[in-house]
Amino acid sequence: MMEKINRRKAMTLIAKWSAASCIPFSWLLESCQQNGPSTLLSEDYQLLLSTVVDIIMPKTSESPGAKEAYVQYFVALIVEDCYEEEDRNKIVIGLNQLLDQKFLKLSEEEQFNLLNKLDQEANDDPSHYFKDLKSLTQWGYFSSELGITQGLRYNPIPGYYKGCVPYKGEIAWY
Amino acid sequence: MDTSFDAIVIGSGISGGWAAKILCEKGLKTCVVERGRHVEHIEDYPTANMQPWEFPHGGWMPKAFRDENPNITKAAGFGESTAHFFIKDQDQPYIQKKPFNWVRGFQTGGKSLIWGRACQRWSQSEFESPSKYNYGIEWPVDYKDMAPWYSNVEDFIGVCGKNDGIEAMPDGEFLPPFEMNCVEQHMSTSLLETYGDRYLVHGRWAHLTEPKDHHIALGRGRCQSRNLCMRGCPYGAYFSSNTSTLPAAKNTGNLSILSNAVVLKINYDDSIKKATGIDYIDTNTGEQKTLNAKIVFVNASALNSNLILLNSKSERFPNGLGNDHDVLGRYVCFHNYRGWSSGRFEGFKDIYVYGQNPSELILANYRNLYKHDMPFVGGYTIFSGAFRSRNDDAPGIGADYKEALRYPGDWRAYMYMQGETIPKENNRVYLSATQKDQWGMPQLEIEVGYDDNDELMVSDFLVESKKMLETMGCVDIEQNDSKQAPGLDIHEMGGCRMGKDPKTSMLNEHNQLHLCKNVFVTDGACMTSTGNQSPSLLYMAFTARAATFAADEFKNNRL
Repeated sequence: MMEKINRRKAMTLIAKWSAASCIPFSWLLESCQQNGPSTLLSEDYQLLLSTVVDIIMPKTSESPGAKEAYVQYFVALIVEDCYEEEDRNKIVIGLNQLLDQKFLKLSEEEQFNLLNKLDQEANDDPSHYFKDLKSLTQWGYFSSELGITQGLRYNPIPGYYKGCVPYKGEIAWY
Repeated sequence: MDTSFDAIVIGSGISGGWAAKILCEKGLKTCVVERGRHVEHIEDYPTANMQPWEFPHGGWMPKAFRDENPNITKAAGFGESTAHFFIKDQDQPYIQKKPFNWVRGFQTGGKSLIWGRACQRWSQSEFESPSKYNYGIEWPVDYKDMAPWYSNVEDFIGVCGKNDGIEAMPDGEFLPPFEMNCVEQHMSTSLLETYGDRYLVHGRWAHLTEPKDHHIALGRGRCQSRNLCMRGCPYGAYFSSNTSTLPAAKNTGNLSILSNAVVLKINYDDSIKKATGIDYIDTNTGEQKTLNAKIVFVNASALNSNLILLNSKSERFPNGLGNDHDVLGRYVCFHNYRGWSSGRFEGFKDIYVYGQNPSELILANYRNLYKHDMPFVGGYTIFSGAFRSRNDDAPGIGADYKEALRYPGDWRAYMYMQGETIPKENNRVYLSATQKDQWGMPQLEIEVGYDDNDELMVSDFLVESKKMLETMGCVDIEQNDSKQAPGLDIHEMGGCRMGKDPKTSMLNEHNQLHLCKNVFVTDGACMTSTGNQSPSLLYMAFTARAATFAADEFKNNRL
């Protein structure tokens, strides 16, 4: 159900952003001048984002990965709908750099190494866009149906509260 | 629809619901006038059973909404899952002479759907200190007067908690408390051992932990520990007008609810020295209409009750109903929530919890209790607790990073203050001379701010809470003075205060206007001082007491 609502919302957003492409801030967005993608919900950015979030939080034998949990979609919705212009542009510029580096054409190992390098840069520089992208990925994963129901333990109706329960290494509750 | 009633109640929130319940049960034909839309219990709680992943922005409101609604967006508990129970900024514009975030909910039940649910009784110290230590006038009632009404209200609404025998926070009629978790037990013990007189106890919260027959008869059930209360509870497990007082009133057959009706003024007839009813705007049609009644209860929420009374002008009362002395709209006060502290525990790794506790712990006030020995007047309650969230901080990227995030992190403890503020003549609200809202009502100008007493109290809280967290064994202590504008506490009070002397107050000991005996004000506007406890329980107790008095007076033809 919500998937449908999200998709409808996405279509509206795409229409809105493409109509308003090359707005004053768009000089920051090189790709815009080249009639490229102008919203993170567009196909090109979604391809890039789905690869990036899945490297940050990949599928393992224990739990689903960020891509199958549609985290790329959550990240785009938050950035497009909720972010201040300045914060949005920082993320977009960062992603454009990855596009310029032909990120999607790199080998898996090269992709991991590149993002790992960005992560280390972000450790030294809290204003680095990758720090934000990484926390959005984490937020999105643990806000998604797969992340909540398979990445964590989830009981929507606990029924009662128990304040002192022994802990023996289990997965966290949502 | 009838246009003549025994009683009109303006507002259907926490106190208005109580007025309706008592008046209807006493046999009075009562009309509750609500400016917002109708909200029916359960069926109008659209998000109550939504899963967390069904909110597209993880709970955050989109920028376009925030830009249009900078005020309401700041409210505690406001977000994607609850926005429908708060107003939008344009629903009632007002003027901030000083920064003030006015939080409102226009619907059946008002803010009782989205309240914090803390339900401590005031101590006698809170009633007597303002006049004793010269920071307020004398209350016309004391703890002994209110105790039976507290009991009445607690039993009906259902309050969980424990009788702890604490001077600063009297015992009551409680359902079983939510238990403390292991770390909270440690915190409580360690404070008592160190200080001897600092009591960190179970919160007293308006939740049904073990419903009684009379709760079940109204269709209410036991709390399921989801802690999604502010979406509206499908089990009716926390108290709201919608689950409790309004259904009880409706069961008598004496209740009418008029929704979408913005009250402009209370009409006054000087030949009988009484109010005759109200004028209101039907917001569906824009028409102005009149209702008549023998009694009017004003429960529009603290500042809107002030607004209506200020706008109730007549030849006899050119400055607002009952306002011969320019007291109306003055001595507005609130609770000081600025201070916040938290810390991390390194231990307790072998314990965890099950379910969500919708209540918090309370550290009862330990300042100026029955005395004045601090550089500031008044006291503060501290809300506190310990929790163990998912680990949200792991190094690197990739499989190890992700897997580390799936496990519990460290235990953390927090404390935040709820401080008494001083009622001051110049902290006030008044009608704009030039600006009106879309219903033709003058806009309210709000001029309410902090003072030096508040600053001293915040400093004391920050020093003491740090020491206490250290005492408990916390590390990495973080503290903050939010400096948030008044209003965000959603505990605005006063403006139409009670008092013994009609020269310095608006209302008598029965919440009755000194100068217009058939008008009663029993919401936050009636408050003479703020105390340090959460105020809603006291509003309910005042309302039950005043409505019982009003109904008896009505039957004896004295109103």
